[in-house]
Amino acid sequence: MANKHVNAIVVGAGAGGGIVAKELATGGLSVVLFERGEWPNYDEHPNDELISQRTEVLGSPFGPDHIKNPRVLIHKDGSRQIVTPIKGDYNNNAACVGSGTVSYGAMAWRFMEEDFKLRSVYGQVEGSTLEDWPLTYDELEPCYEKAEWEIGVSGDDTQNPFAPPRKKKQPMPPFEYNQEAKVLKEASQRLGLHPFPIPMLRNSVPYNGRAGCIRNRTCCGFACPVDAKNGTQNTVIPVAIATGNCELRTGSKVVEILIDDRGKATGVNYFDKNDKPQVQTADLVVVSGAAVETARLLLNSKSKLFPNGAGNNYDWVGRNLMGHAYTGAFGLFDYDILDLSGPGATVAWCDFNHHNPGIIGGGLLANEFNRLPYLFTRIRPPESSRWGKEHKEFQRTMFLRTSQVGGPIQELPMFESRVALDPEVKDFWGIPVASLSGERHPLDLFHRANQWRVGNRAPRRGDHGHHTPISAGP
Amino acid sequence: MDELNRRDFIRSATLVFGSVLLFPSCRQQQTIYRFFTPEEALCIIAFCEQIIPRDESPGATDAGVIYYIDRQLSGVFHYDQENYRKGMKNLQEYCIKKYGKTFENVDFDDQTTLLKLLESNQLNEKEWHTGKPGDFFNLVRSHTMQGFYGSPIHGGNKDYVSFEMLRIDNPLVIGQNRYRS
Repeated sequence: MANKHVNAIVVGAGAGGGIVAKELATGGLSVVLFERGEWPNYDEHPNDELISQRTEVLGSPFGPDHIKNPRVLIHKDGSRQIVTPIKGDYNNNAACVGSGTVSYGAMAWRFMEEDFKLRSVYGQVEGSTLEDWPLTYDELEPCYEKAEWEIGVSGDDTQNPFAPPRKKKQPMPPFEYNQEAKVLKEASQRLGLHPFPIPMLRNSVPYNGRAGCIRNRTCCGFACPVDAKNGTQNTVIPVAIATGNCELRTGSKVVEILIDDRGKATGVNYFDKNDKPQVQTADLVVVSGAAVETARLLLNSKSKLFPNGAGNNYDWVGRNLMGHAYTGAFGLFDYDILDLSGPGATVAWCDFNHHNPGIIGGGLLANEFNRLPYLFTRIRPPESSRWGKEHKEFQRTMFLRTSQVGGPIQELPMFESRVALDPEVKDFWGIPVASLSGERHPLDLFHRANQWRVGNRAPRRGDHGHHTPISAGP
Repeated sequence: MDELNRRDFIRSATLVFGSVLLFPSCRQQQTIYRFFTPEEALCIIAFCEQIIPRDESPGATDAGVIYYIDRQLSGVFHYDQENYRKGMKNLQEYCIKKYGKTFENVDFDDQTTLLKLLESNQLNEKEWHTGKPGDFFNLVRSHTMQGFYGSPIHGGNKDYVSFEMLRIDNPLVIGQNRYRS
């Protein structure tokens, strides 16, 4: 039986798709919200580091299936490598209702005013396609406010001197500093920096009919057992469904946007829960599958007017792939600095977001989320052995005595960093998979990070940087 | 009971419980592996014990890391089966030539010296002819870490021995142990 025609299709029930579906459905449009995954569940992988979004060693807790969904990584020398979702180079995001908003650390940053006009602030950057946004902070401010109150944010921007102006405060009070944050706060103030509580999409107090945070230590990378972490899966998507106008179709893999001979999108081809091919028609198609899968879907949607994929007549679809590179530092203490209470990260600094000499952009700093035992085995000072008695001694004494400060940097867009279709590798459903290639710009913060130190009372300091050529994950 | 007392209670309860459960592992038992032959298992058990040796707290053998690796090689890590087979064979050939006995029977300190050579790729192609020795070392090393520090539901970290060593609250009493009075 053919699917009933609807007003709108939204592909992907994640951060963007959930919000669009809710706005369309409450506006009275009939909507089908497609999600390739299923509803997430904390109890499937509780307190299980090896199947978490932090270390996906044995599987990814929220999908996608690690056999059916390969990608191809293209190295600098041109060699190709097939990667699966449980390998870091895959840059996996959660494939479930709510997507990354289920498992994220849930920091709730607003862009600063400079972030909207990087080209104007920093000028043309050689080797980068850096541009200003077509809208300003002032234009977007009301939307930030709406999102903060509908989805739920805790924080206190008055303590952050670099915060952009706001009309209304955040709806919930900030999280109190944990022990690590208290130490870092005082040390950084002595250095003239400006610590403040991190704005979080997490209930510091009960909000919107859901519980307040219980300080569970398996937080970032995991679903929340009491639903105190706010994502689209427990806010806007239930609202959309409650209107009666929105049908959420889980387990459904959209593989092509149907485009007629006049260039208008008329619907999608997809594989349903039972992997049966189906067609859904609509007046409007919204694609919200994040950086990699959105580009892949557009490139796989070839039509008369768009022979190289939807919207790709100028070869810009999938270009300028930017990611999630981190930089930071560790500090070793001679006393227990961690109390292992979730969410772990409670203090942040925006002193280095912009106007750093010799760097385009910069990055925020915050103390790290919950520490995990296996992940910590990879964290060692340069001179320390990675195994044997010395490993064990370090693990035993320093697990609670190591402080980590870091944050995602402002990456610069590069034309050659891109998502493309792989000519050979196909997924379980026979659809060409995404290939990822490119590198980061030498003027971003990552390349300068080794010259930086975070001042504190630590007796020893170690530099640190995750090094992958690109990183388009959550 | 105030908060601190409750936390202490949970911790000491875990300690008592944990030590009682260590006894059965002292008994001689016949183990059936899914991937390893009994001989191969002895080799890898010795290897893992080098990575995380027993000192004042349990080591890789106590934690049952071999069961983690055995189980995962039959499942998610099936693509590493070949690497293990080749690596173990090569390691035993080398040990028999150099020490006249298999790896698990070589002195502990000599095992350490040998694994350092493996780690830093200091064996020549005659001594190690199955890829880079450092790759095999890193493979077993990271699997050992996963088995020792991961959740017991995957086969290792028996009775959460590593969590106890790291002083991680266990069992995880969601919420209750996070409130301060």
